[in-house]
Amino acid sequence: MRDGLADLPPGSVKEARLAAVEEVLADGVPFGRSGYIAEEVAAVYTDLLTLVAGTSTAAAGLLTRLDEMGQASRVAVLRDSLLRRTIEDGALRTLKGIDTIEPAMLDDLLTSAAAAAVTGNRTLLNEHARGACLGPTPDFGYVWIGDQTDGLAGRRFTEEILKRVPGFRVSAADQNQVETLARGARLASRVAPALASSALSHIFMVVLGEFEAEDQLFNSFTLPGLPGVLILSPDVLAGDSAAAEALFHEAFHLKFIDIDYIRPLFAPGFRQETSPRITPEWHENDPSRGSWPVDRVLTSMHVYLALAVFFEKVASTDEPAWENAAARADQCRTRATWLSNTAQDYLDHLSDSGRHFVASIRAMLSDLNEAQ
Amino acid sequence: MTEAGSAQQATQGSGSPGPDPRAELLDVLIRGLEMARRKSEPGIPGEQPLELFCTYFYAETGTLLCPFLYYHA
Repeated sequence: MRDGLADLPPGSVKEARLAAVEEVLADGVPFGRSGYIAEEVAAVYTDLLTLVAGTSTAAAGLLTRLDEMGQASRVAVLRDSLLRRTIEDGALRTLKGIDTIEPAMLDDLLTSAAAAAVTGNRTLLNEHARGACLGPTPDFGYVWIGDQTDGLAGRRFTEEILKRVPGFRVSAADQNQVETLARGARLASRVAPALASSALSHIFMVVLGEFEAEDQLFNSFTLPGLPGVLILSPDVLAGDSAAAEALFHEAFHLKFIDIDYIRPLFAPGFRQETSPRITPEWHENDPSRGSWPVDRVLTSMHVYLALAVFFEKVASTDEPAWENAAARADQCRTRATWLSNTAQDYLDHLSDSGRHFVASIRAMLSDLNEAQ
Repeated sequence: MTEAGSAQQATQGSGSPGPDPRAELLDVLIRGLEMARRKSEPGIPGEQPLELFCTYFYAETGTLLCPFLYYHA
């Protein structure tokens, strides 16, 4: 037990442990604090852009523009999901000759990004600062309303989504949907202010849409390779609590994706298709939902821990938006624990940072489990 | 160069002495690209899009606790 907790009554001990876990999850360095992660992400992309600038005058122009900006604006500009994708494509072309973007398209997009980078509120994908904000400031990102740009960036962005999710139809959010999402973000922030703020800050763009095939139903997902993008089904927007939960849940996947850029979590050469496969015990009777690669085990462990804390907070504040919050907190904590124990068998597939990440999650879970 | 070929090359290093400080990051970038390639070419065996970091959690809890959230992907 932590120093100083032994003399507290049981209820206070649980509260103190929960607060301590929330603080590490939301604000620990290097795996929690969103501001720290955002600055490190910006540094990664600045380095990649410097590489690209060796062969692209547009990249050099964007670098010059970024040098003229303050740190906060620079970080905000480099949060843009399409700019990140574009810089990655340019870097992979420069370093590895991978042909995922034509040089002319690369230059056009980087030139547009430089033109838009007047302040942190204007980015490649939100050129005219017209995107619908998810929160009171752009910190929580935007909702795709389809008219953020003059066309080139918007087209490229939707193409990048469709590359990863064939048969998907992106739709522009209407005013009601934007308001539901904004209420969901506020609700999540009210329940767990520090944790929700830390999570939602990893969202750059919430995109609504559905699959052309009517039987391909989903609620929400994220896309490795398209950081900061959160895809939601409009069906999730039936209520504020569902919207809040979907945003919070997926934002933690986005945090995980961002962590992987600044502290690569997996051993060199790790690939999903060659990864060992793990079926969580709660999917044993439904193998179609099992067979998870190791990276999914890690990101799910991270999300389940965050949800365990979130629902503990819901339960402790009697927030009426969710029923059975205590039971859900228990379920999430149990699953996170199972995944963290299982991850111990696959540490060879992780980098030193990955092992450190798993150890930090296990320490938090130990605190939470002791508090029960 | 194809993405699959480059993915192998990324893990082999540049051939220069000492560790490549960009190798781990390159691996992250290549994994993001491979995801795109696999998802954009129908017929290639691999994971379905919805298996990627998605919220099966909702389907599970929907069944248990919150029926209106039940969607089976």
